[in-house]
Amino acid sequence: MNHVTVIGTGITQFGTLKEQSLKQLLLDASFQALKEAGFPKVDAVFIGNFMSGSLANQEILGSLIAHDLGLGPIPTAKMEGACASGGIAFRHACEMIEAGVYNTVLVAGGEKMKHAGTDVVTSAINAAMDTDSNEKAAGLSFPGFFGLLANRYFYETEATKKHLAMVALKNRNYALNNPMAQYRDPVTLEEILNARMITEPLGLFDCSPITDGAAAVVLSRGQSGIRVIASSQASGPTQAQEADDLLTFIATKTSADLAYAQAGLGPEDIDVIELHDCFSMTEILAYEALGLAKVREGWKLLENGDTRHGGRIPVNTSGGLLSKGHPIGATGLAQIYQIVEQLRGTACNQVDGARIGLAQNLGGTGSYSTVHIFTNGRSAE
Amino acid sequence: MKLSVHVCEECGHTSIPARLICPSCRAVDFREEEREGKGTVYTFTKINISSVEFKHLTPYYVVIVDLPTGERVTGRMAEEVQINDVVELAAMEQGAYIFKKCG
Repeated sequence: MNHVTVIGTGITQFGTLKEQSLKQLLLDASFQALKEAGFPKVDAVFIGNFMSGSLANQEILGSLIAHDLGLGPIPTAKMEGACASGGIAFRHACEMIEAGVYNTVLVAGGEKMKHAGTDVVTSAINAAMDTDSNEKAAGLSFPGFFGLLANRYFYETEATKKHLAMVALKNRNYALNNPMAQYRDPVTLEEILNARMITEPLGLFDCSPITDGAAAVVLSRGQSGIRVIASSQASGPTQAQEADDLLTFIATKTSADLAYAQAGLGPEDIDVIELHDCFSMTEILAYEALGLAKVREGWKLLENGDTRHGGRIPVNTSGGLLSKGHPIGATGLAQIYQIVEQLRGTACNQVDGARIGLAQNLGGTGSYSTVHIFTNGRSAE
Repeated sequence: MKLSVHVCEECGHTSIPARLICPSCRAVDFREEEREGKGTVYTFTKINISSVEFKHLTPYYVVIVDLPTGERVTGRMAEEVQINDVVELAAMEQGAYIFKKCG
């Protein structure tokens, strides 16, 4: 029986890449992925990207990549869902292959951000919220939204800033071993706790950085490669004041429930996870929405060391968005890159004997989420 | 100071932003009602680093306020604030609800 499988992956360095344009980054990652796949005939190209128009003055990313790689007059599109752009592009490729429309799709994602000033990037990222709302008018910023969540979470649980710092420290420690990561210098819990405040209680290390980078995947119908056994997407509220429960990302929870049902698996069956840690607070809330912990108990996983090596289920072994870096359109595909590496047995921070991996990609202030579950087809020992 | 909310004619669902279709019952007719702009802080954040257009206001607080009538509204404050503080609507500035502490 044929499946949707990953037959090639590529990634660029994450960080400050002054010399390369967004196009060059996308081409670099795409070429690696196509080469690994043995340069198959490609039926379509989907690009995940958030703000190439506003920050890099470049659109038409799909046809740009198809043309420059000589892929022929095939259909292409850029897909945008803020930070979930990469996951959404990947999901649409899965669906089109599943439906029999295409056999092989190149999915790439990238962002070029470092050349712009922090206040310019902060303004551009605010486009991931409802800019025609009283919340935007009040001066709520994207990091500000996650500050609102963190203060309420502290109020309702025994979690403190220390637990946020434990997320940042875990992911930094993983990034030390990832040659593609943006931040590879060690930090201490004290440095994280004492860093300057951005949107309180979130400090510098609680926020994912501004990053240049790209990642790519070739998906195909076949029997070789890492199989995609679930692909799901859901939406959530676009304003904080409209959320039924501000501390539950309904998009993440819905997409996770759908994916587990598709795969016939539960959270206890997953060996390794890359989840969307755009802020340290987001990782803790994702633990809960993905079913790794009960509601309002995600912080306890950090106390127990459950989500690092030696624990129940290692999370963000790439270093996560917090330390690997967050070139927005690339992120969903960079997460999948790491999970595929884990299932091939060739990852940095390899989890011994990993058979099943999950990638969760969030967009906006909980406005989009995709979940993908993968297997290498090996049976449990 | 009062603020206006949108109320579904069919099921009574209320929201701060105007709606075309009721998210609760899918009816399409609404009326505007006024609410007393006084409530308690559900959560807050102190914004030290903002986007360009709000830089001149930093640091400032963004608050989500629960009204006793059940609505939840996001606004801005200049004063330091904590969860459960009682605040009231003091002004509307360029589409933003500006709250201040009571008492």
